[in-house]
Amino acid sequence: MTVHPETSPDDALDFEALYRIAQRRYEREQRARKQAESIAEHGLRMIHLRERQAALLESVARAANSSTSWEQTIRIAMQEVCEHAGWSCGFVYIWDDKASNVLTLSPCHVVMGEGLESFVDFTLTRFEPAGRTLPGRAATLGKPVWISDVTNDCEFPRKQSAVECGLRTGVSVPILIDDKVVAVTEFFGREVQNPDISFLGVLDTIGVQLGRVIERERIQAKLLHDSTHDALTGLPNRGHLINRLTRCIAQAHTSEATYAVLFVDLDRFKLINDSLGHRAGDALLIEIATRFRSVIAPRGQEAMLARLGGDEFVVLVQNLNGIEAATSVAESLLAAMAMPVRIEGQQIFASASIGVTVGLFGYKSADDALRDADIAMYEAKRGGKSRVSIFEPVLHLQAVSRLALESDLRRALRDRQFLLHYQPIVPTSAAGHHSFEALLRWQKAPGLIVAPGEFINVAEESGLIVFIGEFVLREACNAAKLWNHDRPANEWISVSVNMSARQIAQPDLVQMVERTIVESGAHPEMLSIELTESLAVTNFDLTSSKLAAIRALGVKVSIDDFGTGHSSLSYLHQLKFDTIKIDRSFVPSICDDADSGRIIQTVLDLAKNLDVSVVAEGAETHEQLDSLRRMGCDYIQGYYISRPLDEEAAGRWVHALRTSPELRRAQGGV
Amino acid sequence: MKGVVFNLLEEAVTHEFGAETWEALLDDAKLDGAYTSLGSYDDVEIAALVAAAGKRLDLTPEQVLQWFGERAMPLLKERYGPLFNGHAGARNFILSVNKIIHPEVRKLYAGAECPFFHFKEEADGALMLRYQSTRKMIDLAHGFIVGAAKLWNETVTINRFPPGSPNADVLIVRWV
Repeated sequence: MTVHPETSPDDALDFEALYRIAQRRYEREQRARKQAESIAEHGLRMIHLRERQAALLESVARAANSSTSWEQTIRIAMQEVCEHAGWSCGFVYIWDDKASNVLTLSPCHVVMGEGLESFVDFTLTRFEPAGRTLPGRAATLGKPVWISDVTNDCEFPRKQSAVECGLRTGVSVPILIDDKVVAVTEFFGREVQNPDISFLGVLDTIGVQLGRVIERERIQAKLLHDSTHDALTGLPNRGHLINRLTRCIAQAHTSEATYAVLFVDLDRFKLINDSLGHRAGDALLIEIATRFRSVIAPRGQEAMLARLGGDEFVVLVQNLNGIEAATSVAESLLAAMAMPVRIEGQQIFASASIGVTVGLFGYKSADDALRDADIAMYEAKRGGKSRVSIFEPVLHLQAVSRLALESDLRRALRDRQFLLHYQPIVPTSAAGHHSFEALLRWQKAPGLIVAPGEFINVAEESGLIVFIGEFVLREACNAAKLWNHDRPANEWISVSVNMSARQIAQPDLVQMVERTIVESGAHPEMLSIELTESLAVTNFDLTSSKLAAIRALGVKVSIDDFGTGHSSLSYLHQLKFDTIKIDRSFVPSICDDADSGRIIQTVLDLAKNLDVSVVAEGAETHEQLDSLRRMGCDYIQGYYISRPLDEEAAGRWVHALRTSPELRRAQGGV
Repeated sequence: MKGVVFNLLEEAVTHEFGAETWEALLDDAKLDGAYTSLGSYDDVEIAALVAAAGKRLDLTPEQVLQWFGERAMPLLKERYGPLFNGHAGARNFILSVNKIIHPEVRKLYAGAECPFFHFKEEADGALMLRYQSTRKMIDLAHGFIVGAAKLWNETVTINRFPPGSPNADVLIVRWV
């Protein structure tokens, strides 16, 4: 069935109603279209804005990555910002932490031909940007500040100038490193502009980016400084000194310019370092550097104080007239050390040895000049502490041979060319014990034996003595073990070993001695350590504590060369030791010189009171031996008894001890 | 030509002569008339509409463009108010066209080919504009200037050089 809807002729003909509907729909559609277009336009505008902002950030990032200085980067960034925003000029202020003030700096961007000269000039010359000013506010807040119309801002001191130049908008953006303001940028535009939140975000990002550039450059500058300066004292380092000295030498070749090089080495620094620790050593170096600085400060740019490393300093002085003037600078440096340095509750009397050389020698290289100053310094050191020595060409030759000797000694250690000879020490009574003094020899070539007098100083200076000393101790312990393997304890033959200042200063000396004894299998009582009287009294505290520790192991201690050093009864009283060795210089005249006899007698009396035994060295005749025995000397050592023996001969000596009549005679003619 | 120009012409014609006139113009120009502000349309279409309007209103195309420019100004203000605010007068507004208005236009309509005006302010207060564009629509600019003056209740006279003159692209605007 088909249904035909009923239609009213009136409805069909109501065109007016239809028209109104259509009209309403048309207008609605049009409104919707405009609305859609408006939304789309807004979107497009935002996209455009974002693209431009991205391009701005990109160009600033490019500048930050490629420019060679932060000033250049900031100048480019300011130009980009001005072009982007249509602003006319920009300035940069560097925030000075120390003065808590903002300082104007030259990087600025000004659109030319806009008649801004008077405003720029005012800003650069008369404007003080701290406080409530535009950049001052940005710096204090650490956030951008935007003034829509500076001509209406009561806190804008450049208002008059801005009005004259037609500037309205002012924007200031801080440059930050880790939330800390390091600089402030400032921009001005001719139009009144309300704050643009999105653009402020971009400016904020640019501020952070520029902060990174400044930070990067600061780090670079610090690295550069660190690479040319000593970290401990902040003084120029060796490389820096060499550069300056090289320039100095070049100038001296082309002009009359003169210069002097002073090589300063602290005396006994290693001892201070080893005994009081590295921290105290460092504190001493810092204090000395400060004192030296104040000595050369009046010379300004004409002098440079550098630390080469360790306890070595060098002073380079330019435009100096002659050797005397250089010496006077060196003496001022020594005078600066006269006052004791107080470190960790201790007073340290520091001194230095200074070697001086001058440009008059016509150096071709910095290394040569430094070498000669160094050689002169060693000469000063040899002459005693706290001295100044001027370089002379002959010193160079000596230094060369010393250096050759040092390298020979190294080779000798490596190739096992050192060996020991043993000189017997015999008792004058039947109750005494036999012993040997171990003496170092250098078998330089087959048949060529070198005595220590020829190399021991160089070994001591170079530090090789530490290694050589260990060798001596080891050999001596091994020998003692061998001699005594079938002897009862009351007949043990001991061996005495000399120790040098360097060895005493070794922090692990006691452990080393103990270890060596244990490894050799010898008994501690078979060993005696000899050290000179002067060594014992200098650095008394250090030495006495180490000697006490060594004695606690069971090892004996002898004071060598007695009577030649700074004999001090108070020291002797405090120092614990077992034997005094009377210096060989007193023995030869014992029979003819009443004074020598009295001195020996005094020492013997002293020893008796201190309850220590006495060895007289250097007995060469029967008469001397007789006198010494009569005076009550316990032990004799000298050519009359025996020359130093090689290992084999010493073995034979030991073997023959009990039976040989000569030896019994030597024991005191019993 | 950007669709917004067609929209403005439609609004101006509809406002003054009624919707049927616009429909008639589209028919005369044989165009379907679906323009969105964001679209781009062939320059030929605006020329055809101007020609059709001229024929129906008995005006030259130059007169049609001037009339359109003048009438479009209040409509533009309605749409883009912020561009008009902050200007003390028409002169200031006209001078901002290269630096503010056209950059804004380009923000909205990527690839818009806006004309450029070389300005010269004469000693007697006259403002001389040299119109530079690939489109020959100096008369539209002429109308815009008259319309802008009216927005600020100012009256201007505009002097032109005759067609064919090397200065035919110059408008000399004087405030009365």
